[in-house]
Amino acid sequence: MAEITLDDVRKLLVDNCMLRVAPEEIAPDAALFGPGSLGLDSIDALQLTVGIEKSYGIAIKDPAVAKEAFQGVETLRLWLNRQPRPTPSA
Amino acid sequence: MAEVPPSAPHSACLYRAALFQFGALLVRLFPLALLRKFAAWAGWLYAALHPNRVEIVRRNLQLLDPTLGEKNARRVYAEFGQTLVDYFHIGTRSQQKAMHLVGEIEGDNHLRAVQELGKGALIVTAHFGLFELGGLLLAWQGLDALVLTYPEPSAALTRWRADFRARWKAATLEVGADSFAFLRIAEHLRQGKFIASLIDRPHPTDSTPVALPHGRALFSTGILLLAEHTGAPVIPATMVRRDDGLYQARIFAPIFVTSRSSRADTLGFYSQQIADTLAPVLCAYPEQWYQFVPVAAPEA
Repeated sequence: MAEITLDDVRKLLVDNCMLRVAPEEIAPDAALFGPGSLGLDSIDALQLTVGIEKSYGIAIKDPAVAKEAFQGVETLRLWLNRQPRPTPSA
Repeated sequence: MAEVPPSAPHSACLYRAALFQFGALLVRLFPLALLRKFAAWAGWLYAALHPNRVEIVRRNLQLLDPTLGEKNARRVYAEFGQTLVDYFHIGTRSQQKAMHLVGEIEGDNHLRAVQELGKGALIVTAHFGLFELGGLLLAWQGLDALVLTYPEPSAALTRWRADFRARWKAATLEVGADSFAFLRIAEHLRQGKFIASLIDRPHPTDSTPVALPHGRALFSTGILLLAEHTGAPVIPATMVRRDDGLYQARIFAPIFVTSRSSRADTLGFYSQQIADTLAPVLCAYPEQWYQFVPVAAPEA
């Protein structure tokens, strides 16, 4: 299974959270929520979970899990790579 | 279902827990009919003293009917005063007595049908009539009701209103401060809860324009995203006061949100469907549209 890269996560964020920045401008250590972060809100959090499920087949149903995974850009990448992913059908 | 987002230009001095507590005391001491008359007068007086706010309401009303003018906008405040009295009334009576205010329920079969699906439901309405009575109606029907609110101007008022709602067995979930609020809502839907929310509230980043009979307004789209994500149906509903002082509850057919060509297309299409459902009732009772912030969409 191909590793999810930083660029994949940046694209995921821009595509799903309507960020008005170019993917390459997103710093790996940027936080997703809170002061000094990318400024995501609760609707973005929902959209991000939908995007992750569509792109990688990883469903996030527990808000506590989302809170842990969505701390920052790099945290999200590492978290995604730790999750078992469904094998794409041929 | 908070009336206004935190940034709204309403009279913050009126949105205080102590004043709400005072209102709840008055309805225990005086007859409903008398208090309604007094509140209508107080609302009218407030409108006379705040022409700038009346102008915002007038512009909103023009989206429904261009013949509605300043006089109708002032009447909105008089109606709102009476609605506040009814709001305090329902929280200080038993569930059964409070339900005496509801004179007519249309479409409650939709609630039963949706309950059987077990996906929960998103009840959407506008800042219209006594929408809080909808929470009571859901609880009365034996449904697990949860009301979404924005934070009130003070934490004390948010708590007071949540406690007040709990009297008619409707729980409250505050959105806005919590970055994961929408995921929590999705969790509640999966538990089969009926979640009530207001849709005619422009959100800074998540709104879509909808056509009303004489102009475009902004509707928030968070609810539709939830519906698309969870499969929970959206049920438009209204609760308006008739001329005889009793309320008419209308529960419309559920809308099942499925993805269209793009996210914008999905949100625009279903938001318009909700607007088309609510608009005839809004037009029939425009002076019960308690929308005190501008909702007109900017010109395309």
